[in-house]
Amino acid sequence: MFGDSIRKCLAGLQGTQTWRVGIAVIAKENYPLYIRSVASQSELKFHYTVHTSLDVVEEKISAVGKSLGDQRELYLGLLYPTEDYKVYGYVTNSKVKFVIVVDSSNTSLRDNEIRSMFRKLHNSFTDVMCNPFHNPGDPIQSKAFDGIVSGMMVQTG
Amino acid sequence: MSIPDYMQCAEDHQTVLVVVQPVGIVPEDQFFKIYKRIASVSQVSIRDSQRLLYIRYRHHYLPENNEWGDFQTHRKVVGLVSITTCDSAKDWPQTSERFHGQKEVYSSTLYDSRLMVFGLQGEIAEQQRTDVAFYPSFEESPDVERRVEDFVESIFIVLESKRLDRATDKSGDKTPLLCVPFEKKDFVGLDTDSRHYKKRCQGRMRKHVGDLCLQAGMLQDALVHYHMAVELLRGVNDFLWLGAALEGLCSASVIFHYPGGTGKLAGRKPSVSQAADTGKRHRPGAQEVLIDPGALTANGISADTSTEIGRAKNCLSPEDIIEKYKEAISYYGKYKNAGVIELEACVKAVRVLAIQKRAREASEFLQNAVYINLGQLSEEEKIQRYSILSELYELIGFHRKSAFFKRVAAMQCVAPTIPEPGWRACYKLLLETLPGYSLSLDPKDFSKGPHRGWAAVQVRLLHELVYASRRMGNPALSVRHLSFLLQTMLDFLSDQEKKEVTQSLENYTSKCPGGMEVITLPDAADLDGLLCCCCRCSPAVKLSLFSDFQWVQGDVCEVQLMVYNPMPYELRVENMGLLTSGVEFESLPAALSLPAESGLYPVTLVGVPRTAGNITINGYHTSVFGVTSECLLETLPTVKTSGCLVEVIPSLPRLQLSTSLPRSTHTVQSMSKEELCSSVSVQLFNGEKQQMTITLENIGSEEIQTLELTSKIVSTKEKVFGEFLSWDLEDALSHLPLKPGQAVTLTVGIKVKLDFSGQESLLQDLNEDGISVTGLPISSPLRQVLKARSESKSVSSESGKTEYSHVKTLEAVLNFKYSGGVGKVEGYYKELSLGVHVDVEPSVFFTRVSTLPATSTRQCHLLLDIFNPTEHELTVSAKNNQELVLHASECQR
Repeated sequence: MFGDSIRKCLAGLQGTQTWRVGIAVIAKENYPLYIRSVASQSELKFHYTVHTSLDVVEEKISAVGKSLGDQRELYLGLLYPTEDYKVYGYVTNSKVKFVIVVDSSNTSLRDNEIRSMFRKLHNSFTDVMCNPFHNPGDPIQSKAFDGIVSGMMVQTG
Repeated sequence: MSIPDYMQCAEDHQTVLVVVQPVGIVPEDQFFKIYKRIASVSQVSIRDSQRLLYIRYRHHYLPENNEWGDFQTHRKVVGLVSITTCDSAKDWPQTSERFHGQKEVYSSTLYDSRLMVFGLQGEIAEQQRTDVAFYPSFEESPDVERRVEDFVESIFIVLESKRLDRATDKSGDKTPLLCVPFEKKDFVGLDTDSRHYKKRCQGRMRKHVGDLCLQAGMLQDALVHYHMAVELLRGVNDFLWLGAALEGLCSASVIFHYPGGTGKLAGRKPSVSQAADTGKRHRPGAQEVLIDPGALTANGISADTSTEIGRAKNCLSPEDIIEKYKEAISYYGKYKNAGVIELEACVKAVRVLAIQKRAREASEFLQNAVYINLGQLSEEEKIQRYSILSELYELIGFHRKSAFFKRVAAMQCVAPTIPEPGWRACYKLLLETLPGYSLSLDPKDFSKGPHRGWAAVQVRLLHELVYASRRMGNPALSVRHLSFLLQTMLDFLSDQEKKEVTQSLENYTSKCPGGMEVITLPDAADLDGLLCCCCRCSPAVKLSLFSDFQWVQGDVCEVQLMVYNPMPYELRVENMGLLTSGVEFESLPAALSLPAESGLYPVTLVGVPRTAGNITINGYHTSVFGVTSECLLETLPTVKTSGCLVEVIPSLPRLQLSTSLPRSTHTVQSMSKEELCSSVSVQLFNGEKQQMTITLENIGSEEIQTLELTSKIVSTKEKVFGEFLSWDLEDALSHLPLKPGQAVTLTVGIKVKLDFSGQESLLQDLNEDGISVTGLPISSPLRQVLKARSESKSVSSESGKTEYSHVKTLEAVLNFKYSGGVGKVEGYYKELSLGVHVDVEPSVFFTRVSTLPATSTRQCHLLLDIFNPTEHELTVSAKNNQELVLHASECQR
């Protein structure tokens, strides 16, 4: 019930349609480089979800930072589950964050699939960064990257 | 029990609850003054023992919640302090009656009560009564604290006796079954003789004794009792009470591990809890529950447990506390009616985790707390709940989550179901969310560097702030937030949004004319100095000034700014002027209209300094969309200088110069320092003379006392014969001093004599036979005086230039130095320069020279082929007065 009221509160603000899957790339300084979700009406809700998930990401990173020397695992796993969706996180060594949000009802996605999605995303992101004309810190506008993301959305959504 | 106490923390389990309430008419402020004094007695060390009793005071407590007192004794109201006023003895019986009535409310649980009477004097007040204290007035009540201490001690005595009574209750009789309100009807008709039932009774009683021990300051005993209770209750699957026993265990362990507390005080003295934390964290075997099976006697209750069991070993380790909390909460979760208990347990666990710095686990507890259903909540309770969630998230460092919930709380304040939306509260809460979204309304912060944070949510928040402040009936505040939105988020707004924002901005500004400078926010951050510059200043603010970077008092001065309009539509900037300090300055505001997405656009701002001295140009002010803003140069991140210092010198006269010759757009090159105020151009044929009349008019307010004139020929490689410019200043000087408004004329003669010889290329063109002959136009013995007959040079110049590229240019600068008035006394003068640009065309060419033998051998004829390149007739005269008339473009011999 209580969760309901939050959902209603959000839904009232941002339209009722929920997204099935969304992908976000977040810069080291915690602003979005790339945001993509299936249903555009509730995009702001997606923004909020990803934004609040950063708390957990930061917490996880700082926890890892304490154990020195270790090769850090980039995949952060499930950040937090809510009634409607699951939020997964991934952090590159340069502290760029990837966040994938999937519908809770989507049971076909296992941890391994999410992992491989992140890996694909990371590879594509690396390609974007290799582009000498791309200014790191600018929003990602690469078509190739967009294509990869679209592919994933189709696959999962 | 329906209303949770969100402020509860684990150590509250060791406190006894005392309610302090007014009886009859008690002024509120007086009551709270007394309440504060009473509440200051929060711990009392009991005589003859080293135990401490902690007291929790409430001035409001639902009797409904009191019914859960058996479940957790810290929920039980054991003490009542009533405060009343009584003016005369005849009111006394009534007051006393009321007090007894109030006692009735909590009668089932009260250990003791006190009445404090203020204002009563006389016979009744003389009597010594333990349960009533009389004070003549609120001011004359020195021993309130001591009275309260006595009262607490008496509570302790009852508590201790209850504890001993329960703990030693070995009577073969049945142990009574303790139960919570909603359970009562479940046990009707149950077989009270069954082993199962007995165990349940024993377990619950153990737990209860544990609670009492904890309150009585016997932590170790409490731990032992709790452990036993857990064992007993686990055996009979009495989950609700098992949860309570586990929670009791947790509370006791928390009190042991974190003497600093986990509640509000915890934040204040982190060092204390930290030290305790590290010192006690790793205690091997602490989680092992060591209960001597022998202690569990037949009826399950043994009086003296502390000797049998190792003390510290019963305490849970910090990790275990959390585990047990989880377990307890999962048991509570099985009961719908225990929602409040579950919620409070979550909150307590979160506070413990916050101290342990285990934010992620804490967030799991909070996540769970979100979904606990408490039935129908009033809107106010919802707001309270969201706010507390936000606070707890803040506590564990999840600032974004915290901001999110605060925002939800804010939205709840104005939910459509509420008849009177609290826009003010909504606005206040929204303001509090700003840091969570890394937004700061302080201009110092956002001008520091590139944009930070998540633009999409920030824009949303700002829009909500604007809306809330509008609904609050404070359009000025809306304007401020809107301009902030425009300024900081411009890059993230679409063209459509920009339009909308500016439109609403214009709407709001029309509603609150004037008085935009000082807006104080209602109990919020100080926003003073919030600047908005919709037209951002370009990196290079060019300052172009007159008089060698000195301004003259009383004269119009100019400052040029480069601005651009980033908006996708035309921008109307009004009332743009300079901000200065130092000297009295009259700024003459300008209005301008900037085209959509203009590039850099120069704007000249003018003003008049009224006194002499140093003036600093600090910035400029504008009015865009009705928003008046002041922009200081030093706050612009792209501008390096922090203002510009200009010396203003005393007033000087001003000369205006006009000439008889047409003005030209030619600027004389290589003019490094001096700016030319005007220049003239003239076209002359070689050798031609012309008079130029210069009129100097004093348009200033001071007399001109001195005048000097110099000239300088610039940028010419040509040899100039004779004087180029000549003048006679005497006549003009005789008119000095020149009063304001008067004019003086000066005649300057221009004479050009240039060497046009050696232009073979031209001659070759003219002579197909290819014999090159040097023309000697001027310096030959056969010197020609040339006269052009036409004055209409401008007409001829066009064609002349295009046909022949042999026009030469002479440029010179006439420099007028003048001074007068106050400025002259201090040695200042003004310079006025006039550029003179002369295009010189050749007037005659000798295309060929040849000789013919003459009649006499000692003489010969010199034949000159003369070419007239001009369009005018000209006469060539030689020494022997022979005259030859040459028509335009004619060649003659």
